[in-house]
Amino acid sequence: MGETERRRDRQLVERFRSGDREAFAELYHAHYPALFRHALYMTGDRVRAGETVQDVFVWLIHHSKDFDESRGDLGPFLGGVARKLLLRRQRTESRWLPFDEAAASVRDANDDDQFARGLERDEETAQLRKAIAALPERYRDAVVHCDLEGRSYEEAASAMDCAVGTVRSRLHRARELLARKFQCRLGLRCL
Amino acid sequence: MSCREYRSGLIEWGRGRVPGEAARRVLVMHLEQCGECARFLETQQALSAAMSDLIAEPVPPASEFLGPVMTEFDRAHPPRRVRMIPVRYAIIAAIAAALLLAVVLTQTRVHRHFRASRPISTVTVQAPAPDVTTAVATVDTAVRTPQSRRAAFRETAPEPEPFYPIPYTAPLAPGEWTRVERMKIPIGALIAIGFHVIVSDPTATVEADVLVSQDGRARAIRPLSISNSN
Repeated sequence: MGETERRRDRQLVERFRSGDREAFAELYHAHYPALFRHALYMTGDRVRAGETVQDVFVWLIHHSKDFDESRGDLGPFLGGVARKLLLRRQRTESRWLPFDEAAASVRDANDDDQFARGLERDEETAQLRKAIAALPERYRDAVVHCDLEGRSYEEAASAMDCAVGTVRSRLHRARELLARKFQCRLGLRCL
Repeated sequence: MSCREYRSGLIEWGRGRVPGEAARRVLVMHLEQCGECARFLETQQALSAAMSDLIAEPVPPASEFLGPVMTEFDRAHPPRRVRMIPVRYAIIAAIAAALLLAVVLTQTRVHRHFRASRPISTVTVQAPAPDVTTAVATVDTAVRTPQSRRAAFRETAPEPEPFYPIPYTAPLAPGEWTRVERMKIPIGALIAIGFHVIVSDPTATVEADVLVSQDGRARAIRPLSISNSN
């Protein structure tokens, strides 16, 4: 994030804290795309990503004082809020599995080859999105930060609050898992 | 060196980070001999391509989710309430000011009343029975009408004529309420309660202010004038 954007964010946050509606809307428009993408990569579901974005901004309305400009930029801060909200939501929802998704997961396991043959490009992307979302949290974070959001290992380590080597090993592990799952679907020979 | 040890370099290569010349040469040599690792690299490159498609996916317009967020913002920052607060405070402040003014005015009146009857502090001193003749003679010339009395008060004495405590009565308690009653007292009565009175006519009466305490008992008197019975 450039110095211009940083200064703009600070001014907007200041105005928003004093109740300026326009400033809040401007903040929303500035951070919405990155936040939506982040939520989409984490959930693999566009509807849930949209809901998460809403939850993040509603949270910001009520907790604007929690953002400390001296500790970092607003973008990563909102990303952290999104991650926490998603984790909380996942914990709540982990006990419930919709009937159709349960059936789909059974079909995935039993009928993999047929599924791989019939996939079109869009479906492939959607499946990859879902597969990433289904990764364990620590691996998913690494993929989202490094591969999908294009951050360096150092930046990802800072965001994930762990060592650079840890990020690297988690990313490699995640990619191995994804490769194993998608080897057939990506038009390659299965191992 | 096992395949496992080459995997890290192959993943980075698959991510588009081409290794340096020396490392690349080592990897290529291994790939020529190991079909499994060659497929692994191919898979990693295909995975990166699929991820590029994922990144290129369009984001729905921001306005799609903006409505409920702004509704929540308006609920948290209601503009009407912001305007109402000063008006409400203004009304409360006006009522408070009116009450304060009323209290101050009431207190001022009460204070004036007390100041008028304050010489009681001088009365509390137990003095020997006063010579009423002297006192009456002094007051007689000074006190005629309220106007002249007020004028005399301003010019000559800062305090009104003192009250003389009635002998053998208990002193007033601090802060005890009193009232002053003007009455005509026979000389005989004054002598009877312990005052030392020297007059030519023992049937004469003295007009005096009598300080009456909360329990209704006379505690002190301030003689104003003396009149003969005939």
